[in-house]
Amino acid sequence: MKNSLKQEFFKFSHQRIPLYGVIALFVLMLYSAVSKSGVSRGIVAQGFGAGQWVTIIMITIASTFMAMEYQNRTIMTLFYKSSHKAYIYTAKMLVIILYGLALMVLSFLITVIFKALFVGNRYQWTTSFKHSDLINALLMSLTGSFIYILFIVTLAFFLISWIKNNPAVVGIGLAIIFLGAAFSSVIMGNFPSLIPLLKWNPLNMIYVINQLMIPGYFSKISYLSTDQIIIANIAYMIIFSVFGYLIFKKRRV
Amino acid sequence: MLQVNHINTFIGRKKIVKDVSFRVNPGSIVGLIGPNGAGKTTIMKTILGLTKFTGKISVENKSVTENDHGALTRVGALIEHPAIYPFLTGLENLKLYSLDEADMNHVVSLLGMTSYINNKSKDYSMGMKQKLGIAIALLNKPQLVILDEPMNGLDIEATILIRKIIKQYAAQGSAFLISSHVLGELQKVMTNVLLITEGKIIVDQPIDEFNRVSHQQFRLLTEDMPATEKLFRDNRIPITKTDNYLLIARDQSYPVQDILYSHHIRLLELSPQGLNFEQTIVSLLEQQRRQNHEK
Repeated sequence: MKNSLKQEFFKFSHQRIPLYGVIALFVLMLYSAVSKSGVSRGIVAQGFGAGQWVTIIMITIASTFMAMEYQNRTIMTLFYKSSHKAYIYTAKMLVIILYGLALMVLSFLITVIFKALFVGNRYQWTTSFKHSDLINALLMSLTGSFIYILFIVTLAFFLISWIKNNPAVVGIGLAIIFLGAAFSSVIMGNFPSLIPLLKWNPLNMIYVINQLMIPGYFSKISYLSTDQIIIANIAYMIIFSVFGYLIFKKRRV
Repeated sequence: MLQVNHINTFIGRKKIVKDVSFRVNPGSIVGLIGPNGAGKTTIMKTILGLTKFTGKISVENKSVTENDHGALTRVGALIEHPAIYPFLTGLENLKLYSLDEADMNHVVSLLGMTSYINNKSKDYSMGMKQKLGIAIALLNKPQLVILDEPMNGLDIEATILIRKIIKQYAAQGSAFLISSHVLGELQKVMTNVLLITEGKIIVDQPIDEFNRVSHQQFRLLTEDMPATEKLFRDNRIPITKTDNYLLIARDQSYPVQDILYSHHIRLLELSPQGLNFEQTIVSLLEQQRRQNHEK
């Protein structure tokens, strides 16, 4: 396992894609900062959209990192050189999750810098925001985003093991991120009697990004309590990981 | 070293490898030969635990299964295409798998890759990539090396060099299982022949024995060739038809004379015919195909 982790970290760190991810995050957060006149407290609390941007970056990077083994036909060497296939799958996932964590930390630092640049002293980090203060709201938003990253990374690994087509996986991921929440709300709105069941659907999980920050408001949209949405995200993460690994293991190379 | 016992491999519901057994001893170079689709690559993948199989495979008495590759720690392989990360240099590709830096540098210098090993492998030519694939297979002083079409894309100098390196490693005790369509090249290095067709092994012999026994056929000419041909087919005697003659295996030459005599067909010529390695392989495959067809 240690060797697989070393190998995967080596491969990941020698690619340009992690750097592109960092650049993309910076550019997208900057876009959020300058696209509207005046930076609201809500934008700062959301880390200049960091949750959404990191999620998009992560689905692309996670999918590409696994797909490259099939594209370069290195998967066979990887399989026979590794004593267990589980080591490869786990090592890849850990490297990507650590990268996601690093992006979250980076987005926190960028938020602090952008707030200083674009907000200055107009309001402080201790200013109240939705029954909390701004810094706490930001930390909760980033924590929620990290939980959703676990969901999206495991989903990307599951999908790429299943369909082996990187553009398709990225497309599905983006559709979930951009349309999933709205679609989930529409379904629940149209079938209110089924809400006790439909509220657990995977498209609803994206609300964790904002629900940790503003629980009162978002629990009414997701129909899940904060504890429930965290547990459901983790449950999906486990389901995607187990099924993804089983497909990865059985896949003919 | 490598022991393969009664393995069967399936792709979907189709049985690709049928009850195959063989051994590869330390220091031997086994040539795995067969037509396209015979199951050569599948056998190699099976040995590496990459396919589902029944039967038993062991390397140094340790079992290989689809999910446990612990026995393959000192096995190197190049299957189908060199497994290379284009964003890494040649050296970085090697570092991924190397356990001993001195050995890695030795392999690089042995294969004559020093001048370009620090370049990104995406810029390599086909031959350079092939060499890098072979270098990966030769890392960590392997006990067993499995090479699928190792001479693909190599120029004549590189081909000679690889041949020399294979012999050198074998002399130091490494065992090789090599498949190639370039039979002439394979013939120059191999110590054993493993001929496979339709997923079954039909020849498993040391090369000297194979040359001594299989290379000899007899050339037959009678006064009535169509009748002779029919007679042999009726009697299930394997024959190969050439423009003017029929070729029969050496061990069939005595029964043939008796049959011709009893059917009053005059024998005009029965002489030993030396076949080269390629012709022998083709002839054996033809015989096997005919036997399968008759069954």
